[in-house]
Amino acid sequence: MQEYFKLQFDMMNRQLKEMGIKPILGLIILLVTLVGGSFLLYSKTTYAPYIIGLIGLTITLRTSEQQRNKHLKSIFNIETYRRIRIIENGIVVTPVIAVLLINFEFLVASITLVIALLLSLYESNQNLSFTIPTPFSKKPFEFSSGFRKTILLLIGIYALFFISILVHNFNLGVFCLIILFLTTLSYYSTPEEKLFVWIFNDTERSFLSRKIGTSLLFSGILTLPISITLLVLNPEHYFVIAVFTLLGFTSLITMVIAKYAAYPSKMNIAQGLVFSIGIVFPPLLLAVIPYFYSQAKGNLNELLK
Amino acid sequence: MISIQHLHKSFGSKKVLNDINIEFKKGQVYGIVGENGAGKSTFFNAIAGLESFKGKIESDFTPLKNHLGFLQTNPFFLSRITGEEYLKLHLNARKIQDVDLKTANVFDLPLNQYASSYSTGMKKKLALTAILIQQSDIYILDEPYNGVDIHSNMIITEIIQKLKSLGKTILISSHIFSTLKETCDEIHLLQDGHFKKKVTKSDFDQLEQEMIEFTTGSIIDRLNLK
Repeated sequence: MQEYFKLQFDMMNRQLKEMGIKPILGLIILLVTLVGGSFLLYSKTTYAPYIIGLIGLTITLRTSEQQRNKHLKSIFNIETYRRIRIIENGIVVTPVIAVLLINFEFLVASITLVIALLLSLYESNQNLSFTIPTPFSKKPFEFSSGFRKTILLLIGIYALFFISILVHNFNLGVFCLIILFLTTLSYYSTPEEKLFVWIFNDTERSFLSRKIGTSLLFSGILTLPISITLLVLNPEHYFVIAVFTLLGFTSLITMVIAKYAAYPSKMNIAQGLVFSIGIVFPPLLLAVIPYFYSQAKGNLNELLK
Repeated sequence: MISIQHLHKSFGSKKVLNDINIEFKKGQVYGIVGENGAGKSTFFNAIAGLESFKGKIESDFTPLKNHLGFLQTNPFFLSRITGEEYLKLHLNARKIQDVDLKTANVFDLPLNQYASSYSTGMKKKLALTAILIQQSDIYILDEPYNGVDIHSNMIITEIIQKLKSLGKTILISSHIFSTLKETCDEIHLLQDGHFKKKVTKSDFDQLEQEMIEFTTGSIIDRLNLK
């Protein structure tokens, strides 16, 4: 069992190195993101502890993936397998529990920990005979695949948005909009196999236009109901709503281009930084987008020529 | 027609393809045989443009990839994508409309289920269906019979014969010699990075015999089975 955890640790370090990040730097980034993110959440909404707990549990769910569990069961006996699952879930949820405890959220921290440990008994079935319907089937694949992978998160976001309406909390509504956009950005985080670019009868430019067009259309289907509802209920905040909606769409365009700027690899730390700086200081996107675009064209040229 | 001149491909210091010169004519079916790791898939990837290489590959079609249907040995499937969506992705990519996927589903695949949940053979059949509905001029089929049931094997053979009658150029690799004998006009043996032997229909049996002797002779003796 010790060997297993050592291997997991080595694998994580290798992944970080492949992304161009030194393991110690990765740890620092994780800590800063966690502390900074929770600070931001607490400043925006009173629901911060629940959201933090939910995020922790969502990440913990990744250990329940069926293929992974089948593999573990084939290697270890059932007692060791159970112990591994419990320890893994405990490790994954620990940073979130720590943040909650620092903020004196003892009840939420306890509930989150108990659920995380109970989740060690759960094994998600990837080979469901039931196919989750999606409104994005006509133009696969990013949104149809992403929608299904994040369906629980999407339901959670819409539920939270509904609560924000009930309690007249505009900030929480905007927070939901931001999380929704971030979720759609995640659909473009992993590069697809070369063949799925190669099959397109497109030039680099028309390929990127097609990808951007689809992303805007489909993200609009997900986010505009929230933007419009916010606008109808809070017309005095039209400027804030417009800014966040436009920023969301612009981020998505940047993300699509950035994905292919790094293609066929994942975005490295330098590209990730450029992307983040562009999102934090939107005027910089005027330089960031053309920069990524020229890189993306170069990468796609090899496959589309 | 595809003309390949002085094709070289190395992975680090290992030469996989070494000065390959060959021509594939319109309306012909070519079998490519060779041991595992002989470079068949690399050769196909180079033709498709999925692998960088040194040398020249020319064809009647520009760009070649837009006229090429490529079935890979182990087709990759995106997670949480149904069979139907996988086919739609291929149609959208070539801007093809008005294809009735139910009719095109000749292998009776459960298109409403996630493709990643399919068996090996079903995945192969889905990937083959995807390239067939794209209506290409040249087909590269890298081990199309691998993992596929007998009935589907027969359908694939018929499909190849139909494509040939339509004037398509087809390159197939397979480890099942009998399937190649049925469909190919020529078989090329890839060994040590280049094509060592070209065999036409009349000599297929001789090549098969040579390969059987090579495989089942001295190698199995080494196991010293008792």
